Amino acid sequence: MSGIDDCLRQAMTIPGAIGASVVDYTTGFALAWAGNAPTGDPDASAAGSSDVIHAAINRAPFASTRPNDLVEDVVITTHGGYHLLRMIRTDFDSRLLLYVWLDRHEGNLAVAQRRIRILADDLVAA
Amino acid sequence: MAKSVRIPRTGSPRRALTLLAGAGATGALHIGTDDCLYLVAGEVVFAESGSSPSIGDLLTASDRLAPETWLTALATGGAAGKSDVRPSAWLVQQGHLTHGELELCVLGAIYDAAYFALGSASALLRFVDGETHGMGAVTSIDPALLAREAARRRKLLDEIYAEPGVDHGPVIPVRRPPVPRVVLSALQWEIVGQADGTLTPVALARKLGRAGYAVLTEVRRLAAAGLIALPAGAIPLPVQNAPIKRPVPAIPYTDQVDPPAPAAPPVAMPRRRPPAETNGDGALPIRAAVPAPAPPGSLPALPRREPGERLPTMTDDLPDSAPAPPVTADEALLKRIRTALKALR
Repeated sequence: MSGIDDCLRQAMTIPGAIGASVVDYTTGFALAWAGNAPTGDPDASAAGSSDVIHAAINRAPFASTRPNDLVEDVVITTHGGYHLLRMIRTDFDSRLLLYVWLDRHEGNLAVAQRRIRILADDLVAA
Repeated sequence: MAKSVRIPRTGSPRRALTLLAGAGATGALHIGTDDCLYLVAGEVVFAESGSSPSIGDLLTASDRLAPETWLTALATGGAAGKSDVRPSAWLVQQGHLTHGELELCVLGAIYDAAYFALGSASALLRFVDGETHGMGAVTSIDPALLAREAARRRKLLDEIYAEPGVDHGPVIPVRRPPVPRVVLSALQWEIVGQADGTLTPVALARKLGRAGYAVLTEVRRLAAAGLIALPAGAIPLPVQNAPIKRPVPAIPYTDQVDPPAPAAPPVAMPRRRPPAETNGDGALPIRAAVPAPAPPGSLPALPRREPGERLPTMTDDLPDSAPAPPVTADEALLKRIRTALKALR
């Protein structure tokens, strides 16, 4: 029984987490956020992460032709950090992703990826 | 306690919302005949629009909830009139929805409805003090943020294709696409599949259980791609298949021919003028330093020199019949090459 705020609070407990947000990628809008955003602007990071997701889900190599082989997450690695974008799949119509920004030296990518998958699933688990 | 606030009977919904938010009002702002924003202490807690699917539409059209479950939920909260067991709370308590799902669904529905409710410049307004929504408050949104997002969404639509007319008329897929191959997103497929020539984007959104704004974006994209009929007077986009803008060459091409050096043979090819502005220290792009090849035969070949032989002096050793080589031009050229090479270092 976790809500959006719970989900973001838990995302912030992932080792190395700097910021987390739930983003509507139709419009590139942060519905909710916690912690810091790159460049200090949650709107800009929401717009940026939406562009990345659009690129991933609309391009032939990733939008696979096999049914239900959908994009689950996108990881961007920079010198100092990891940016994790996880699709939140709801049964009802929505286009949402969970975005988490991690410090590269404090964070562990595999651990974070696993935690974020569980968080995104729990948020909407039936 | 909230101050009482008067809003005009007709006016801008955005301004009315700002007034009510400033006064910390609680109640329902009815906009036009179909739209309504619900406030609690100046924050928007719910929004409904005749133009966007309700959360019931979203939840039942996707089969997330059976229609009976939804009706039971409505009956539970509404009929009993108990403020502590609202339909939203009941759905979560009974395990039909998770709290997260409910929040996401309601948030999405509020932003979607607000886009339509706050869209008109002027509308009939009515504020009912103390009126609350039957669903019960699930979340709350800063009205300024909501209004800003609604305005931003309008701008995003116009960036896709600035023809608001397609939002209101029926969606009519063209009989023959203007291109040999058509790629549709999943939502575009649904729209084209359900479009019967009479349904508007708003009606399609309801039928499909998709967010109204999401359908509008896809309809605008379809219109931009020339795949649906445009309203009368709309200007079709001229270049559909060339979204990539070619960069403008940094060096402007001109037809102007450099005036030939006095003694130089006529140059057949138009020569590119070096750009007027240089990058600070006078360095020119190296391409500008390469001379146009002279037409064959225009300049006699210089006599070949044996290894070790003295260099001929320019004036004496050339045949008299040949025109004097364009010394001044060459010097200028060498200077330019030298400058360009320096710039490369």
